[in-house]
Amino acid sequence: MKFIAPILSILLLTAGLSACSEAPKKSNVSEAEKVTGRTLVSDNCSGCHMEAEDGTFSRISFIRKTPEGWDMNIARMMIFHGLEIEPQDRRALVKYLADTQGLAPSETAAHRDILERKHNVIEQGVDPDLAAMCARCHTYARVALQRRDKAEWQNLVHMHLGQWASIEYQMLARERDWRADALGPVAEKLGKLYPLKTTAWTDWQKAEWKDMSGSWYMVGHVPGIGDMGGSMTVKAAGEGKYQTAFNMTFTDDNTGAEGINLTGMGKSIVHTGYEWRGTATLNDVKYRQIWAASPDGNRMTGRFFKKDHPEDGMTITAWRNIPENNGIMSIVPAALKAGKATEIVISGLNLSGDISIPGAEVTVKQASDSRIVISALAQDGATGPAKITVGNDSAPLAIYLQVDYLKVTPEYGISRVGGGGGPIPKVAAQFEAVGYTFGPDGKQGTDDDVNLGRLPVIWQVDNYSPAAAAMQDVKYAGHITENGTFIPAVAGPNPERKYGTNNAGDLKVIASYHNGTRTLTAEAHLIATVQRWNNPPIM
Amino acid sequence: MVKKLIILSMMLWGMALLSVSSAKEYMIVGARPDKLYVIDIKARKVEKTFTIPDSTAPQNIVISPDGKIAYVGTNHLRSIVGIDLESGDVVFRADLDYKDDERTWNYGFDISPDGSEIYSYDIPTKIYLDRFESREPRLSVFKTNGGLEAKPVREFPLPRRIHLLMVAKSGALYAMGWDFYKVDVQTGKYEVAYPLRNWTQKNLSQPDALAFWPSWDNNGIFSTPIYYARTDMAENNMERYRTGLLTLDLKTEKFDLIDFQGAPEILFSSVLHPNRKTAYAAYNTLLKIDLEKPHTAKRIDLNHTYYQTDISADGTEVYVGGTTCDVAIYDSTDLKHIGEVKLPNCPDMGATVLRMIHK
Ligand code: HEC
Ligand code: HEC
Repeated sequence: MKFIAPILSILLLTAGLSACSEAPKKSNVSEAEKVTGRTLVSDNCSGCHMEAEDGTFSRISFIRKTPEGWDMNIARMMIFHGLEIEPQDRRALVKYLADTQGLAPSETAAHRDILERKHNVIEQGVDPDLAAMCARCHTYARVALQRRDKAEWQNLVHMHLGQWASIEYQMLARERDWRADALGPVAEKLGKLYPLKTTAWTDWQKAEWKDMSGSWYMVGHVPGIGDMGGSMTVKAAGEGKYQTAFNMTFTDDNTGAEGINLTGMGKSIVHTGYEWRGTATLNDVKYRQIWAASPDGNRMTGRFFKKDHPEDGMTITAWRNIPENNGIMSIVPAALKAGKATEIVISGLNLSGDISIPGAEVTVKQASDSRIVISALAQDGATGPAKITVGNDSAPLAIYLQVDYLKVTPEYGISRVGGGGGPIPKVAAQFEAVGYTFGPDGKQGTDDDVNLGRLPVIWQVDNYSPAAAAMQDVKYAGHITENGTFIPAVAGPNPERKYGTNNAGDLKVIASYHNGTRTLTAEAHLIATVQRWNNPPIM
Repeated sequence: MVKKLIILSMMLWGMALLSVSSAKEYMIVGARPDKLYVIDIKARKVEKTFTIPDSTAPQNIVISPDGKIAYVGTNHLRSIVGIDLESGDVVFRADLDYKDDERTWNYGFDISPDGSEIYSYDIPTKIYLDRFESREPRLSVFKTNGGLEAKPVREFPLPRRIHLLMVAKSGALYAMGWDFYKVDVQTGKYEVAYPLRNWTQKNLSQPDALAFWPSWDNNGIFSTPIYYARTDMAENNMERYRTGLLTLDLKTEKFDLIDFQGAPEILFSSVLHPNRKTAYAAYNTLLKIDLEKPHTAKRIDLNHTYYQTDISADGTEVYVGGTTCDVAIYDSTDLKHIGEVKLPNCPDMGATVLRMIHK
């Protein structure tokens, strides 16, 4: 006992000391932002959302959402409940709420396609009952990108019941007691799947949220056009905001020809420490970025798309230009036909060292530390998986004899009529034909098949079904360009059509690839449908 | 006494016959945002246009038994407005958000045989400062002489998901929802008069029918297309998917289910010929259904989608309306297009119902 006491006190003392001597960890959300944020909530929301003694605001403090989720929420307060708020206050509130009641990177990972406004997304792996109950008017992502406990899920159900008179009467609802199911088992399940408090969120709040300024290298693919490599320079502008400058070059992945250059400037903001949201004007066209940074802040992925045509864009990978980030980011094309000299573009960061493809002759035509252009020739008759090596890094590459089959992506596409004097522009659908070899087993559709990248094909459309043929959908629904872009017809009823119906259609998209004496074909399904009258940030 | 009664009833019968043969037939329809039309249907002419004050989208229309007043459901299911069909005056109004803290939708209403009461199926939501609370639905009974701020005189709870109310000749209220209920409007007691959700039809799946269309004015019988599957047939056999007509005779209060075709075809509404030997159903197509066989005797393509089907009192003309701004008229024997009525300035009829009156 005698000994223990002093030891204990020393231990306590040092523990106390170390707590003092360690520089107090800088909070991710500054005191100033917290104070301003609380004031904004108090000024704008507390008329309806009471502040409790513990400083929480009713409803508001018990839900976590993405920046888009918070913004849509405030929009509903304005449209349905008459909230009036200045645009800059709305933006500041979204930032404050997303920073203090957001979702951790791991909590949004499964639903980024929807956040990124990817077109043609078919959500996978959704519990069928939750899909029938909650994903027939909007995506399931809208649900899964929120965190709250059962009572708050129930409040949300009450909002739905009080807002949409027909919710219990629609197909997929009317055969069940929608209200009882939603307030009961569904709210229960959602509260368990997506609760308010999670370790993922507590850990992310404690992690250090990185500054994004610096120089970044980007690679990306534009369906139907080709591949992009380029730079993004980021300068901090305070309060999580940044100024950006872009310089990108496109390569046609069929011909290897360098295409257009896109350059311009933009502005970005980072919410919740990793949700990068940007706008930019590139070659006079307005673009938007919806990206996510990796937890260490050194890499980002997401989409870069036209502001007025979110379906038209590219998926990007960006690496911060620091010594730790070195290696190959992309190879275009990632396939080499035996016996044919092919130009290959290697993009990456801090590339250095010898360039080789075992089994092929390589001539370097151009080289910088981020972009290398080579001409490669594999011996006639060679085939199988290979790799391309640059210094210490390597990436897979396929050597092949012939294209065995084609696939059209997406397998299921959606276009929407538009224009025609109406307020909503057409939404095109972009298809690509990708070549494959059967792989060593000689069979189509097995795991060892090798993706040979995009191929130049001839595009056609046809009626998908006898019903579509009877309605002559192919005649009215639109046309496909030589790049595989389906351009839908104009909106509105068409008096020429049976029932005076609009220019919707159920079509198949057919790609044909002429390979010497053989012609390969593949099909995809295209639903040419009507406009969406509202395009909320989370569909 | 007995004799007197017989004479009286003969007189009434004669009067009724007379009123059909000599009185002119009119169709009443609504259109967005606030129009009510009286159409001289045989003349193919809009005779009167009324403006409903403070209205967004007329849907249900119920006519007083004397044919003088049209009660129009409007404001996205939130108001019932009574319009005098001679003068256009507003003689009744119930705005259902009469309770300060509630938002209430009306999913169907009808009128008592003596015209004194309106029965309304209301779905309320309580609105708090920072949240909503969905409440149980109820039957609200209004007096038609309740004025322009009518409040219910009786309220009773009813099951959820009811979509159509109809009053039988006897005064009994029928409500179609998960099941077909018969409701006592004095006590609020209800019972399942015809099970749908848990029906006992052999080898038939749970049926689906979402009827909003009152097409019983000229035949005294409610009917709606209803869908179900034959569970004893193979999944890939399209004949498995059946369409029937569900009917309720508003005089005898007897239900009937008439299976008339296989393979899926969307039909929104149906109407029986006054002779009850044929029926008509519509959406993108117009069907003539032989109820004696029963089978689809003829099918034609319509020029566009129509929601409601109706018929003239003499059974010669079939009408389809709703969705845009025209009522199309077909010969009931061969479904030949024989006329149309276009509403002035082409307003959107949306989901307004058609009603037939005689005066
Ligand atoms: C009848 C169509 C419909 C169904 C069914 C439906 N929703 Fe919604 N939901 C909507 C609409 C419309 C909105 C947009 C509300 C707005 O304008 O803010 C919405 C919004 C939402 C939001 C965002 C609300 C906010 O303010 O952040 C969530 C979360 C949501 N729904 C979850 C659900 C869940 C959970 C279910 C199943 C129990 C469900 N929804 C079923 C139509 C539907
Ligand atoms: C005029 C009253 C009013 C004001 C002001 C108001 N709200 Fe609301 N809020 C409501 C009502 C009513 C609901 C419940 C219905 C709903 O969800 O739309 C609600 C619901 C909410 C919810 C729960 C939504 C969900 O997803 O379930 C949140 C969060 C919220 N409000 C945030 C805010 C914020 C933030 C502000 C201030 C910028 C605000 N509200 C201002 C009336 C208001």
